[in-house]
Formats: sequence, structure tokens, C-alpha cells
Amino acid sequence: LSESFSKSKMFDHSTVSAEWFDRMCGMFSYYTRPLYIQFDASMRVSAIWGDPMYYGLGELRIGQAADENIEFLVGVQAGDELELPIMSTPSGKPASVYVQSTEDAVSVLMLDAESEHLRQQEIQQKSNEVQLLARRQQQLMGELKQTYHELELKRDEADRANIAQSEFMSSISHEFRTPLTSVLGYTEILEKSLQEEPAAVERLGAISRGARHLLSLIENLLDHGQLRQDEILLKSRTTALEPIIEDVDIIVRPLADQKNLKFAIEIDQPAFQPLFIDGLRYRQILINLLGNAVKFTNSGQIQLSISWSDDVLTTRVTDTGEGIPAENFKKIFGAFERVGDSTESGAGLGLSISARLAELMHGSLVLESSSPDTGSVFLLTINAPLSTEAAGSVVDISDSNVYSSRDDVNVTRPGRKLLLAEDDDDIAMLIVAVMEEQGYRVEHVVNGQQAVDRALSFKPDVLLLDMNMPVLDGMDAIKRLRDKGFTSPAIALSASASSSAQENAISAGCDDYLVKPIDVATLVQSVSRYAVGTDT
Amino acid sequence: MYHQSLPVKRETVSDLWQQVQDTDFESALCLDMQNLMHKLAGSSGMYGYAAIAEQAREIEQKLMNGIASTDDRETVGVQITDFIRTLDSNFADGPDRENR
Repeated sequence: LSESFSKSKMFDHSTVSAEWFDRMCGMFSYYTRPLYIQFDASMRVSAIWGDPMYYGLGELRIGQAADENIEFLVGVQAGDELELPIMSTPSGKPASVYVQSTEDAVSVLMLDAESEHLRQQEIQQKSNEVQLLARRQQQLMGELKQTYHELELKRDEADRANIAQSEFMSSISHEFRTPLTSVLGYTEILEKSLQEEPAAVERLGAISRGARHLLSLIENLLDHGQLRQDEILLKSRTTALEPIIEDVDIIVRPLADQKNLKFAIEIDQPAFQPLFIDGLRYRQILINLLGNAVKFTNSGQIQLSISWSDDVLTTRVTDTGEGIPAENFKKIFGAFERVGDSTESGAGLGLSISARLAELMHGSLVLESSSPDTGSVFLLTINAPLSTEAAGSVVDISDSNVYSSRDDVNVTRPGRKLLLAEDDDDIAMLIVAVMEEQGYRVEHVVNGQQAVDRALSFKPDVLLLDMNMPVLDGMDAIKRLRDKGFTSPAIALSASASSSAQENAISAGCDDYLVKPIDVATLVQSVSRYAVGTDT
Repeated sequence: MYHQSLPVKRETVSDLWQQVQDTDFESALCLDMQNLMHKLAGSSGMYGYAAIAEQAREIEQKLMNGIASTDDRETVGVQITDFIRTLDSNFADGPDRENR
């Protein structure tokens, strides 16, 4: 209506039919309360349609002067056109007002704008609400960001604390290891020199057992720290299972015998094929599982079952022990978690380490079942592809890092040839003395070049190679030797304990890596293992 | 044996450190000192001298990181003096005096 009116200059006001306009406005009168007032050139009312009282304009009469009641017309000039979407009228009602002024007349149309006013108020209100909500949202987002940031800081702090804890454990464990290896070494020497005095040997045996136990705890702490920092590298290679099982048998059977437990081993024939696995870590898991089984079983038997199929080595360790409550099935794999008889020794790291090692081997370690009636069954599965290497090249691996149960595996290899490349006379003298005592024929050279030259002619069963030597260092020496077809096992000796140094030595062609200061027992055991690996 | 060689090792360390100082920390001599500490750390640990091994390792690390500043040189000087003292006391008392 207003639009058509605003265009009304197109027609002559004098010709507007009152009936027509009345009819038009009537159509909207219910909602819009239209009021049309026309003034003549002298601004006196010349026509009215609608109810001026509604807008508080009084009882307008024909001929009445405009300025008496209608203030908004004051100052309107000919040719003016006004559009006031919402204005307050004298009655307080909001109205939309349209004014058109010509030379002859002024037309005013007023429409009730209450609903529009309410609508706009509502819009305004909603807009305010939206603004408030947006502000609140912004505030919440800010709070969320702040919280997130604080959480990140706390997480970083926790991470740093964890790393610091692991580093602390590693370093303190390392510090403990050196003097303990001395204790063990000297105890061993004393045991030999006091063979005629059984009481002394017995007491030394107690010292030795205590020291070994401490050492195994420390080794576990070191492993735990390294696993947490992803520093343990698997060294998968062609491995025969048989020597590993023999080792495990030698270690576990006496423990089982002590408790009058039966120890049974069942291995499916396919598992005896040469497998591409990290043998020493597999052995570590087996010893751990079987050690636990013995520890927590008071009568009955322990069983080790191994089978192989489709590149998966499946190992079950079954006992008839007290069992583990269902609610602790997962808990037992947590670090430092110990359930059941708290009087048993141990730091609660063995299963945690074993499970992590199983993961690294693309497998898993789970507690398959457990109950007080039937005991527990631990199931270990690891990825174990068949080795593509010829069976003759199978090398048995001993663990140079896992000391825990190695008392029974120092086997002398009389007549075996050992070449030692070491430029430090003190270290060389000790190694030569120790290894000769073990029955090895040892030759000593003082740099990498001599090692290369001598190894090719002397053809040692095992090469001990210091990494840091003059003329040609150990790394280059082993590379040259491997290039020239030297196939005997090589054990790197280095002061660097970093995993990258270890990895480099292994990838250059070394088979094992011992960190200085090297404890004598570890050295003897490692050399002995590699020497037996060359048996044909 | 190793124990008997400790006085000789002490003199070697002491003489080399004197040379390092006399030549205003000539880099070749610093490297010699670093290598000497590396060897001592490896060998003494094997013979059960944990304290010697640890101190030698620390000095080796310090030299490896460089001792360009006066502060660093003073620090390593103090470490070496301590180290010589440890060699003396280990010679007098035997290995792992602290651990007994």
C-alpha cells in the first residue's frame, strides 16, 4: 500500500476516488489502521479517510489548519517526499508515515506500525541475544583454548618428567651395573682360588646369587627405560631355536627342580626351521615367562609349548600355579605392577618388558587363561618368517645385555681362535688373559688395518673389534673384511652406548655390540656363544 | 697389573695437562687429552675402578664439547685435578674405594 502510495505522484490527487482509496485501505484496515489526510495548498485539511483519534491527532475536521495537531508537517515544502518507517505518534502508537507534497496539495498516509515495531523489537532482541551468545561462545572458546593450552603444558611436563624418570633410571642402573659386575668378577675369581674351602665357596655363592639378582633387576630397569624411549633395537637374523631352548632348559630346570615341579617342553617340528627373529630377545621373554611360572607355582608342572605356522611362532607357557584374578589380567602387564603374593621378589617389570618386546616383534603377549584350579596360560605370538639363508649360516645368539640368568652358559671353547683388535694395552691385556684362560687361542692387533690383514690369514672363529682405533677404525675395518668375504662373527667393542652407534656397527657388519666398560663375564659369554655358532 | 700402572697413568695425565696449559690449549694436545680420557674410561671400568671411569668419561665429554672459554678451561682444570687425586687414592686404597 505504501509503495503504491509513494508512487502516487503519478496520478492527480484531486482525482483520487475516495471510494477507491477507502476500499484499498479497507483491505488492510484490520492490520494497518490506515489514515489518509489531504491538505490543500494553504495546509488546511481537505480530505480525511480513517481514524485520526487512533494516532492522537484529535478530531480533525475539513478546513482545519495542519499545524494545530500535526507537528511532523511543520516545515514541509512543496515537492518534498518523506518516508518515516517508524515514528511515535501523539497517541504513543508507532506509525509508518508517508508524506507527499506538491504545489497544490499535501497527502499524508499513516499506517499502524505496532506489529512492525514489535517485529523489529523482536529482531533487535534476537540480534542482541545472538550477539550475547556469540560473545559467550567466544568466551567459552577462549576458556577452552586456555584449558587445552594448560593441558598441553601439563602433558609436556608429564612427558618431560617421564623422560627424566626413564633417563634417571637408566643412568642409575648403569651406575649400579659397573660395580656389580666387578663384584661378580671378583667373586668368580675368589671361588676358583678357594675351591678347597667348601664353606667359603658356599658363602661366595650367596654373594654371587645376590649380585646376580640385583643385576637382573638393574638390567630390567635399563630395558624398561630403553623401551620407553624406543631405544631398543631388535636384531633379527637367521636363528636356530634349538640352542635357545637348550639354554632356557638349563636355566629353568634347576629352578623347577628346587620346587619339585615338573618341567615339560613340547616343540612342533616346523619350529626347528631356521627363523628370522631376534633370538636373544625371544630367549629373554621365555626366561621371563618361565621364571614367573616357577615363581608362582608351588606344585604340579610348568610347560613350554612352541609351534610354528604361516610365519608366526606361537609359544605357550602353562603352569599349575595359583592363577591370576580376572580383574588383574591387564594389570599384570603394567610396569612395576605386582599382583598376588607380594613377598615374591622382583620389580614387576618382566611382563611389561616382555609384552613390549612382543609388540616390537609384530606380535603380542597375553594371558590366555588363568584360574586357581587350572593355573595360568600365557600366549606369546611373534612374527617369525622362515629364513632365506642356508641352514649352515645359522648363528645362535646370546644376549650380551641380558645378564639375568647367564650363570650356566659360560661354556669354554678350547682351541677356538680369537682375534682381538684393540689399541688400549690395558684392555687388551685383560681380554687376552681372560680369553686364554677360557681356552681360546688369542691374537692381538692394535689397529683396524692390522685387523683386516690378520683376520684374512688367521681366520679367527670370532673377531673382537674396538670401534675407536688409529690408522683404520673398527667400523671401516669390518666393512672391508665383509667386502673381502670374511664371514666369522664380529663383536664390536665401543665406549658409545647410543643406539645409533650400535645400529651403525651392526649395519657395517658386526654381529654384536658390547659397551665399554665391558664386564668380563658378559664378554666371555658372548664370545662363547658366537664361537659355538661357528660349529659345523 | 692395572693397579700398578696407576702412578704411570697419573704422570701421563699430569704431564699432558701441563703441556695443554703451556701451549695455551693447543687443539691437537686437547684432542690427545680427550683420547687419553676415552681410553682410561674404557680400561679402568673393566678393571673395576668405577670412580676413575666415571671421572674420565666426564672429562672426555667436557673436552669433546670444547673448552674455548676461560670458564670451561678452569672447570676442566678442576676436574683433572680431582681426577689425579682419584688416581692417587685408588692407587693407595685399591679399586672402588667408594663402593667398599
